[in-house]
Amino acid sequence: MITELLLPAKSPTMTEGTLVAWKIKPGDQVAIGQVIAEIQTDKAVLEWESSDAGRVAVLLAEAGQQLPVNAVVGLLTTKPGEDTTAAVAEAKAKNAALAAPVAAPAPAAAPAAVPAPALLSAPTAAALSAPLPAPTAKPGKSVRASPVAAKVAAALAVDLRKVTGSGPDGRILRRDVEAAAKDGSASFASAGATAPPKPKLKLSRADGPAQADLPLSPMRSVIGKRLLESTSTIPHFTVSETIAAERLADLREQLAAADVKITVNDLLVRASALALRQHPKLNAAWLGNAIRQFDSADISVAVAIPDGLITPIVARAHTKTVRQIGDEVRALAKKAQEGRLAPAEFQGGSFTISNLGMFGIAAFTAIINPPQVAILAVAGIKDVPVVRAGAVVPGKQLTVTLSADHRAVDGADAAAFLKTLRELLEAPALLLI
Amino acid sequence: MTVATPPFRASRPINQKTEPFLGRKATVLGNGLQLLNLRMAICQAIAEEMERDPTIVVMGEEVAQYNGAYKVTKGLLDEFGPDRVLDTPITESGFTGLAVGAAMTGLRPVIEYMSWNFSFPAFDQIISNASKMSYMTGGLFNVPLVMRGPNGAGPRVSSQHSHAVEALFAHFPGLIVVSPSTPFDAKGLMKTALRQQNPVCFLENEMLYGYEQDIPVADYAIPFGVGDIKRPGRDCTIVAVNRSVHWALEAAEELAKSGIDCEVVDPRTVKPLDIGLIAESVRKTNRLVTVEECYQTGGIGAEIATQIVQMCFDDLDAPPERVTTSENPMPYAANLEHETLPKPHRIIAAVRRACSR
Repeated sequence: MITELLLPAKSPTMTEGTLVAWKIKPGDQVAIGQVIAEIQTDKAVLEWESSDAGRVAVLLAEAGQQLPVNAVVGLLTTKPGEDTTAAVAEAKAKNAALAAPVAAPAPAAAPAAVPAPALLSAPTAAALSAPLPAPTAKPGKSVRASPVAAKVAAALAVDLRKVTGSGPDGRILRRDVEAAAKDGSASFASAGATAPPKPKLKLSRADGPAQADLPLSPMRSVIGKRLLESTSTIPHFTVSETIAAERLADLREQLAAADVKITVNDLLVRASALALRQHPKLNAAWLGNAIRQFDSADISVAVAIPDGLITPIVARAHTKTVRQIGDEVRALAKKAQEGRLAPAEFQGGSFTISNLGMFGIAAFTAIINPPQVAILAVAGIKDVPVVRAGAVVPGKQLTVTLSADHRAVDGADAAAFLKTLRELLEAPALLLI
Repeated sequence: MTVATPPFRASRPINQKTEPFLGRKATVLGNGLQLLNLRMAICQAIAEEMERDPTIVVMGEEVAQYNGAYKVTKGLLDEFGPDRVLDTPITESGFTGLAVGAAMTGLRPVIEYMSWNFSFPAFDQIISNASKMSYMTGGLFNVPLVMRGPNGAGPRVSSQHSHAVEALFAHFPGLIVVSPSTPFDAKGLMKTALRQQNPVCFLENEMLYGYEQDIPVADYAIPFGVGDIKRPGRDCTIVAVNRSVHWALEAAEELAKSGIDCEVVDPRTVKPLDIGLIAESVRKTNRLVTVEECYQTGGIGAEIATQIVQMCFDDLDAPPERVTTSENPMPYAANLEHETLPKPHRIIAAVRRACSR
C-alpha cells in the first residue's frame, strides 16, 4: 500500500509553507508520530509529525522549497519492493495542479455573488423600524436620481434601480418614477402601497364552514418574520407597575374643559421621554457586540393601520411640550393611515410605546422592536377600589408593563425606570413644565 | 391691503388711446377701472400721494419744465408748482445728497435718475448715506427717499447705458429694491414707497413705459415683499422681474405649444424678496429658471437659486437654471444686443434644459 505524505496545514490560516528541512531520507522506516520534517508556516517553524507509518519510497520536495498545503511531498510504502512509478506520476500531476495558483496567485476567488438584499416595499418595511435596503445601491453602478425623484420613489415604493432615467446622463427624473409607478414596472417585491385584493369568502364544501385563505401581504410577512426573530432571539422579561391615575385623569379633564386636545398617550410619551433621559440603559440599541446608548429620546409610537401596524417616531420627545407631542403624534398617525410616512419618520427610534388603553384592557405585554431594548405596553385607566389611609375608597389605576432585553437591561434597571415613570405620571404637573 | 391683480395683457402694443393723455389723467373705463400705461401709473401714484402729503417733493434733471425725459412727471409742475417740482443741475451726487438731507429733516423727496446708469456718480450718497443713516443715528434720522428712473437696456444704447442694477443695490442692507413689470404693480408699489420710512430704489424700464393695463381707479397699495404669479403653470417655475417678466411670458407661450406649462413668478420687489412664493411654486413644478437683466455673477438668480436649493432640495428635479445678461459690455450692434439680453429664445433653451425636453 502506498501512502502520500501531504504538506499539512499547521495553522488555520496557512495556505502554503516552506519545507525547511527533511528529518527522513528514502529507505527510512517511519513510525506514526515521528518527526519527519520542519515546516515554516505563515507564523512559525513547526515540526511535522507523521500520521502514517511505512518505508520512505521517494521524497518529492527539497529543503527550502515553498509548497502549497496538500502538496504531495513524499510516498510511504508498506510492502517491500512495491512499484511507485504510477503513484509518483500521479503525485506530480496533483502538485502541478496545486502549484498553479501558488506560482501566480490567482485573483482572490471571485466572491460568491452577493445576494441582493431582500426587497421590501417601503410601507412593508415600515411595519417595524427595519432599515430599508439602500434604495440606490446597485452593485457596480450608482443610481442617479434627482432629489424629488428619490422622494417620489420612496412615497410610491418604486425601486430606483429598475427605473430608466430620461434626464441628462441618464438621471432619473420625477416623470420617470411616476411612469414606472403607473405601469408597475419597478415596484419593490410587491405593491405594498396598494391594498391587497379583498379576499372573497369561499365555501370549501357545500356543507362545510365558510373559510378563506388570505394571502400574506408583504407587511404581514415582515411583521411575522421580525416579531418571531424578536421573541426567539431576545431574552425578554417583563416588569409591571400600577400607577395611581386620579391626577392624570383630572389633568386631562381640566385640559379638555379648556378645549386643549391632550390624550393620556401624549402625557405618556412625554413622561417616558423624561424617564428615559434619567435611565439611559433603556434608551439604547442592542448591536450584537455592543450596546449603543442614545442621548435623544426618540419615541416610536405603535399605530394600528388597516393591514398591520407601524411605529412613527416622535423625535427628541424630551425637548417637546405635551401639546407639541400630541400634535405630532396625531399628524404622524394620520400620515400612517394614509400610507404617506417618509422612511425617516418611522425608521430608527430608541424606545417604543404600545398603547391599547383606548380598548379599556387591564394589562398586556408587548414584543420588543429590535434593535431597541425595551417597549412599554400601556393599558387603560380603570376605576378600582383603592386603600387609602386604611379605608377602601374609589380610585383610578393604570397598568403599564415594560418588556426589556435582558442582554442589555437588568431587572433593577427596568424597575428603576418604571419607578421614575410612575412618579412623573402620579404628579403630572411635572410633565407640563 | 390686498388687491387682486387685474388680468394683464402682456403683448398689448402701445396704444394711441393713452399716449396723447400722458400725465396722471387716465381714460376711465367704467367698472371702477381706468386704462393706464406704466409711465402714467407711476405719475398718478406720485400725484395722488402729493395731494395727500404736502412733504412730497419731486427733483431731478428735466423733471419739471420738460416734464421728464420720459414724461413720467408730466403735468406735475403745472399742478403742484415750482416749490414742489424742481429741476436740478446735471449732478446726481449733488441732488441725491440734497435729497438725503431733505429726507432726514422732514421732506419726502422723489428723485429721478434720467437712467439708473447715471446713479453711479451718486453711489456714495445712496450706499454710504441713504442706506446707513437710520442705522448710524440709532434711528434718530430716517431717510424716506424714493429714487426712481429707468433701469436695464434701452434700444441700442450700448455698454454704458444698459445696466440693470437690481442685484447691485439689493446687495446693500438698508435699501429696498422695487422692480415692477406692470402698470398695476408700479402704481401700487409706488404708493407703498411713498408711505414708508426707508430709502427705496424704484427701478422702472424705458421699454415698459408704454405697456397698458386696466387698473382700479380706487386707491390701493401693494406691500413690499409680496410676489405675484403672472402665469400659473405646473412644469417649470420661471422667476423674473421687470422687463424679464415679459420675456418670460413670451417664452412660456412658446413653450406651451410643445406642452411645457411654465409658471411665471414675479417677486415685484427684489428686496425684500418673496422667496416663500417662489418656493411654493418650485414645490409644485420641481424646476427653477431665473431670468434677469443683471449679470450672472452675484445676480439675483444666484441668490434665488441658493435659497431655493436650501429650502426645496428634495423637491428639485433638475439643477436651477439662470438666464441673465451675458457677462460682456452691452454691444451696440442690434443682433449682438439681442443675444446678450435674456430674451425669450434663451429662456426657452434654459427651460428645456431644466425639463430635459
